[in-house]
Amino acid sequence: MNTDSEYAVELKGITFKRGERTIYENVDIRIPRGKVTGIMGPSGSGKTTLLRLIAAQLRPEKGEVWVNNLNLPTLSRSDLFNVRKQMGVLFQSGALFTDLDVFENVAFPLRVHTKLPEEMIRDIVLMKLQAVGLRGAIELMPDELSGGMKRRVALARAIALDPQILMYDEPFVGQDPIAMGVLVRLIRLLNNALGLTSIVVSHDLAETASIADYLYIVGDTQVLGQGTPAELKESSDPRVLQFIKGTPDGPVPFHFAAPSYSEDLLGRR
Amino acid sequence: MRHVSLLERIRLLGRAGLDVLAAAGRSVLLLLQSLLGRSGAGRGGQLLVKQLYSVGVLSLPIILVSGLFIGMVIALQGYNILVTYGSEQAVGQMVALTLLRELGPVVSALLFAGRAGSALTAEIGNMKSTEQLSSLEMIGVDPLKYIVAPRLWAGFISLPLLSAIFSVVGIWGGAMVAVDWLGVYDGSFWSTMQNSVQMADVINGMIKSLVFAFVVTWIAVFQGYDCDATSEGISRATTRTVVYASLAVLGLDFLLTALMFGDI
Repeated sequence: MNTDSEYAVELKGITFKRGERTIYENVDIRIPRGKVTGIMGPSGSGKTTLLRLIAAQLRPEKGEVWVNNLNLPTLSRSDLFNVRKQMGVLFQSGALFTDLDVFENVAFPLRVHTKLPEEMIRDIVLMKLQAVGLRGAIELMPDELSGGMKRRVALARAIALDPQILMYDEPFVGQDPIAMGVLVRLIRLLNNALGLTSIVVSHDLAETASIADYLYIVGDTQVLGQGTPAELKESSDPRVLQFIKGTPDGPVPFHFAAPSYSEDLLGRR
Repeated sequence: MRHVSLLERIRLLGRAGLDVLAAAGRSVLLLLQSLLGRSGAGRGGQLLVKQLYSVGVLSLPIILVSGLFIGMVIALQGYNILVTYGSEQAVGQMVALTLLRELGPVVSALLFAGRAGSALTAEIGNMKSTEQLSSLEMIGVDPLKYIVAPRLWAGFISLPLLSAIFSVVGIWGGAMVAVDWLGVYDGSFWSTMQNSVQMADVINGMIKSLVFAFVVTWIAVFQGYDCDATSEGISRATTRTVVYASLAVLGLDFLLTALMFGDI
């Protein structure tokens, strides 16, 4: 696997549809290696879909998904599973294994992919849990954790194998202010300390802009804007400004495509 | 209600047909990708034992109790009919052949579909809706090998054994009613059974339960893996498992019986 190129992930000319609805139309996105890249956009704009395209859990209708110089949609099923060992995803729900306790959840990737002795697995798990502040919760089951705690355990599990690319799906949702601050610092810290490439999908503008080196704003099947947070704040593009200022009226519609409101109310449809 | 034109109805019928074919294709792919190649992350044995416990051992109580009562009922009904012809000693033969050839494999498969099949569907469907399957994929572990394969093998192994236990307990229940309660001479009860039951009956019963095990478990894991990842989707998939598996068992039972005993 080649990791020399400037970009860890490159999406080239991606078109993706769900049924009749187009989510992306001929989109190009490049994720710089070793940086934190934020993918932002309104709810329902296809941010999570983008993560799943990068992880090759979804196949694009057209276009190429290059990760570490491998075009994922062309790989065989077993090659794909090998590539994924180099990627970690923090899902929005945490997606912990409900039949395993916190310790075993974090130990899981180590047990299935390494032959490390038990003492070493224990040490690694404790270190990862210490990083997310949950070393004291090793014996708890997932259903005994709050939503925010589940996501932190899932983060510890995602970094267990020290992946090269770490993707976060809405990491700030449901976190209390203290956990939010810790998480924001943690994403930056992990990126710098482990030399990761981080992709943060979020609609929380302030938090994402505070840690991202580069931002993409997606919506309406396109990339609406891209650049460093400072560049985007200075942008004159009305679609970017609308998102950054959070105004409902503007070029990006707040309403999902629908027929005339009055006709709908009067039952003429 | 919206008016649906004839053309639209034909289109919907065609769509439904294509959906059924696509689902059949996906189910065959699931079976092949799960069972061929290396087992789940090098821990196949461990995973299989865990599933044998939850699919097989935990189904034992319902199999034991049902087997016992069904054996007792056959003996009671059989005695009431046979006694009018003075051949009540043949009740042993009747209980054994009914259980080994038919009721053992069929009723255990129906109970298995309701107890273990529905649980398998709900468990896998729930893993899908909570993104645990996606999460496994991202850890680099194939859920078909890690989650689906051990459950398939556990079903294939458990049901024939449960079916054999069902028949044994049923015969014991039949003996209790006929010999201990109704007073049939135990020598005649067991000797008529020994004279009439052939090895072929036992083997045919086992073949039936192997086929049922394959079909019921396949339907159960496929419905779980392929369900819509919502509470309603999981509930519909669980119902489909029980309905499809029961119908498949009853249909296949006729087919297999015709092949095995059709020339009698």
